[in-house]
Amino acid sequence: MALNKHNLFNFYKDRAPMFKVMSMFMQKWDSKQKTRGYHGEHIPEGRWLKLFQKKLDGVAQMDASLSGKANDETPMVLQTFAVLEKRLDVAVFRAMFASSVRQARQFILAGDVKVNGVSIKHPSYPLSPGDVFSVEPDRVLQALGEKKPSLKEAYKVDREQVIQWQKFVNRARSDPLTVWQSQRDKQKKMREAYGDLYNPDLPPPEHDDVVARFGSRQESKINELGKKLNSITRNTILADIVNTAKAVEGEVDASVFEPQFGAALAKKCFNIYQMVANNKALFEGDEQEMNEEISKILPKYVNGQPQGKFYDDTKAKKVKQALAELKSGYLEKVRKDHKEQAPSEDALVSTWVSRLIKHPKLPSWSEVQEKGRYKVDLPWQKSMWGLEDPSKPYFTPWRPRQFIAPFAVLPKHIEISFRTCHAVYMRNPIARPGESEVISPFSHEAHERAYMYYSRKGL
Amino acid sequence: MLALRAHPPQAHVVRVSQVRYNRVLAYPSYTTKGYIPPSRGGRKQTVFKKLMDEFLGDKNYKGQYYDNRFAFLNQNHSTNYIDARFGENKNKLFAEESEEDEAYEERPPPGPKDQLRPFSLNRFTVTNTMVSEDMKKQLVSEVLDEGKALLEVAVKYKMKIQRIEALVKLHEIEKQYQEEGKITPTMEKFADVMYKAFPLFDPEVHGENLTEIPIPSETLHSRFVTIAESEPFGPVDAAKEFGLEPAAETLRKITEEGEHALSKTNNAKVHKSFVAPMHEGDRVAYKFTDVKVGEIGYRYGKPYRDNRKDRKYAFDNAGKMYPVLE
Repeated sequence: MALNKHNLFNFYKDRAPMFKVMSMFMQKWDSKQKTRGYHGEHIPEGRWLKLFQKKLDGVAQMDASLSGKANDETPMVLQTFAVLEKRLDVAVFRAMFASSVRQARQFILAGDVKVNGVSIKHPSYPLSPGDVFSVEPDRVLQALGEKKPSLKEAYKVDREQVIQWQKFVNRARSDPLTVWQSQRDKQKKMREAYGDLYNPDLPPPEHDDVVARFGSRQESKINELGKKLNSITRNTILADIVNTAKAVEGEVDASVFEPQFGAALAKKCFNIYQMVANNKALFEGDEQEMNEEISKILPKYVNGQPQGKFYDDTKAKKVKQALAELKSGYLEKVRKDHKEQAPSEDALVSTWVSRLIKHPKLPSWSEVQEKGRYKVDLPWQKSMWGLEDPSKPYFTPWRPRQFIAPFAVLPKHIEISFRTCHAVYMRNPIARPGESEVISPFSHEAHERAYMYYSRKGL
Repeated sequence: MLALRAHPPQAHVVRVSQVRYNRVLAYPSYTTKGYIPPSRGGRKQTVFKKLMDEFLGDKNYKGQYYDNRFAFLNQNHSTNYIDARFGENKNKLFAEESEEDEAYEERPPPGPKDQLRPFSLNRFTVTNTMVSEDMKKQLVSEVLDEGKALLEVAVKYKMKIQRIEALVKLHEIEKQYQEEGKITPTMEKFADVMYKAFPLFDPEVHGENLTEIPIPSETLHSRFVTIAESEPFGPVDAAKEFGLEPAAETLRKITEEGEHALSKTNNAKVHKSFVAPMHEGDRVAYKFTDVKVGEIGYRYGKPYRDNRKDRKYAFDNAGKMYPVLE
């Protein structure tokens, strides 16, 4: 039975048949009809009658009686269709290399299935324990992957995506903060709803909007810090000290410098202040005079030669040295403060909006049809929808088909390697207490009646 | 008479077609909303279709059923099967919580075996578990590098010998593929998605029973033996009565010689043979063996039916099918 959403709905709605109101033959017929619709429905009834074996395989557990627990019943009748599981087509389907037995048959007939390295073209090939079978990986990816869209389907989806994206950019530009907030809420809701489910439309963690924002925040923060650090020189520090001291009315002490330089550096600042406190040009002149005086203490150097007028006495040298020490400490403090301080939400949103670019208009369908392709450059998709590699027979980039989860059953008698699309047929499926290795959605009662139907005499 | 007048003779319709049986709808003829859906685009909508659409939920413009939980594979090493304990409409991902949901949440969580059962009607079908990559690596190195006996490894991991052999075989194929660079990123992604969609093998929870032996067909039928009341009669006596070897012996054969050991003994036919007594002047001794005509030689008068349904076929080494002459 195909891994198909319609079948899933039928299983979902299926209820146990009402055997109580049916005659014995009705029960048998109904059960046979249902089970045969799943087990080897592609095999004609006459052929199946020849394959059917009355004798069913089961195993006994030797330690069962020693364990002292009540023995679970062995569902022998679930082995009714076990002979079919040997067939190569059924085994390929059970190993989840094909989405239905009929598709498995197609793969086999096309020569894409190998048993022990030899290509077998017969769906009825009986596997024996220890056989290794493999299917062409592209075929498996096609069987379990999303359906490849036609060019028109891809174009339709991309046109819609581009329209939605342009609208989104417009909205974001006109009202950045609201759109930003709603986008965040939406993504959060999606992540909560899908939880541990595999949804290819969910942004993967590394391209997550939050991460992107965090990254850009770091970047803008680093740029900002660089600018700030470059603007700090000994001259600006001295000017800051003088200006701070000027603003104070009354006695100046170390605590005055604490707000800007911190407690650790305040004392050093005070020392420098004491050194230059007698300089009238600094404290009594206007701003221009002050700057001239500062450039005399700390002259600019060109080719190792000081420019303009400058003081060359020991006092000025001491001031210079103290300022150099203060500068290194102050830079460290600025760096540390910047790290702790978070950038504003507005700044983030504005950088985010500035990075949103509208998508160029898609060419018309007739043009696309002529060319056979078109370009897409959306933030989450860099090629045609589902046609990243049009040479492949499946949706690219690959993603699992929808609705395979309820049907995905790992068989106990086949060991599978999905990485190489190989599998080992370990044994014919058997029944053990409380468990049957033949995978079947039908109840024990249904199998029992189907077995009764086929095991009667004169059939 | 009055009733007859009420139905004039022209209105009588003779039903020509024969009704063999009444068709019974598999599902109730009403939807949860309680109405028959109106026709859509000139096409009649059926109740089945309506119910299915309700079950599948909405599709987005990409054709994805985003609202149905069964549309997606789990990626946390658990299964996403239809739970029999779910009520109706528990398949919606974005459904608003109702009072029923709250009542549902108070129920005990499913046991470890419940999530391995894919089909609610059949409790005997159980999905297998994935062997984790780490365990596989360790297991393979124990077999290949340390050269431990398969039985020893089987007991340690509570896994059947056949499965260990298969894991080693597949590991070698994987290694070869990796060396040849045959594994593409897409295959890796596929393998990763499938790996995460199944529970991982835990020897304590999912350990296999290593004392399993095939049930002999003889024991499937009852046999009656008359014995004295005081006479002890145990499993070994029963085995003797059936003409079987003791189960312990069968288990030893399976674990030491493999599963094939049994089929060999069963299928090997013991042909009776004897050497004819020699007389004076005989240069050779004749050995006579009982065989079935047809197995050796051609049975006279046997019909050769190459069009029979259950004709036997075999496959040669090139994978070509050929009919077996009987």
